[in-house]
Amino acid sequence: MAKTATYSLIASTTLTGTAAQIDFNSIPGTFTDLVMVITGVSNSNDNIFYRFNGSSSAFYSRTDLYGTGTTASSIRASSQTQGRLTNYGYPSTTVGEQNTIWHIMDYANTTTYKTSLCRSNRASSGVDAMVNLFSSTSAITSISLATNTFTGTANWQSGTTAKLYGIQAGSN
Amino acid sequence: MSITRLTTNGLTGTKYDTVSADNYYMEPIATTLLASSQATISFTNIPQNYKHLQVRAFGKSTTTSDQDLRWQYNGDTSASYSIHYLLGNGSGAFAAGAANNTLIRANSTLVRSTYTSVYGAVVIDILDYANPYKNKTSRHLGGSENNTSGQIILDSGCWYNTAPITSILFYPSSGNFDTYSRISLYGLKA
Repeated sequence: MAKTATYSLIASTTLTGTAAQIDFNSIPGTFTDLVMVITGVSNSNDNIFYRFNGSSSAFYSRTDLYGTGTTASSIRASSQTQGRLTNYGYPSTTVGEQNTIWHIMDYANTTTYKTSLCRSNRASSGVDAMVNLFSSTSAITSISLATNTFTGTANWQSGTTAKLYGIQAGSN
Repeated sequence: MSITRLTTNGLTGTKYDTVSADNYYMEPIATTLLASSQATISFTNIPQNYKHLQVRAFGKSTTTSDQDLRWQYNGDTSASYSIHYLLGNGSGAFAAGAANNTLIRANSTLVRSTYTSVYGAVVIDILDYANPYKNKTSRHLGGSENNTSGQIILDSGCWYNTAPITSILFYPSSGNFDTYSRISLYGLKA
């Protein structure tokens, strides 16, 4: 049987101006995992926040391992109203200085909560490895990204890119 | 790689789209999704025509404490592995390693049964798995988070054996894999 290529590009955004948030809607439920690759440009050294399905409920928690160039440590947060992908590997005002690779596992599963893993990298500031939890069994059908919180006034800047890929598992 | 397709992408000039000429960079090999708890998950007769392997696991333990995901290659249970990890638990960063180990592991990536809907995750890259001249190195990004505590790990393992990897046996450090645990194996072409 012919193999089916996976790691398929679902959607891609490249900003040519500013945007308060970046949205991926109507995500098909036909894949097993999602991978998002972000190269962020912010107003001024702002973190990347996310929400699934537009939810602002206190469903988000995370544990972060970070390195700053002088320090390696870890922090965590529980019951947050938005998720977060960066701490020291956050976007700056410079295009191409930062990237985030984010694995969202079993995103369409309606039995389990949603665990995701990410690496965020910015050589001039630091690196993060993070595990996030979205405590909802709902399938993820949309992802929104904001810089400096969903309620703040900061915007994504021109040059920001976000690409969403779907990975399909083989059969049992 | 031969060019079998020529495309223009709307920009000035012509773009040779060699990526589209052979769109099989990552292919699913096999997946095990558990309908009930199970002690081990194994992949056998792994095809040898890829460059690297990737394992994507989403798992849970049947015990009341978080467990490591462990594995061995080609049925080798001898002390021919080494491991190192960097771990963050929300309080601090920790590192450790072991030589002459009988297994490779991804720390605390199988969530305890206490948190009924929470599963841990790990992405494992096994590089040059079919190369008969190299020992086999893997890198892992994994973790678990339950809204009370969590662990994020970066670790690596090495199997000191030049034999191509033809099988992988996965198992928890204690107990069984719980229902709905999944391990998927992918092949990456050069």
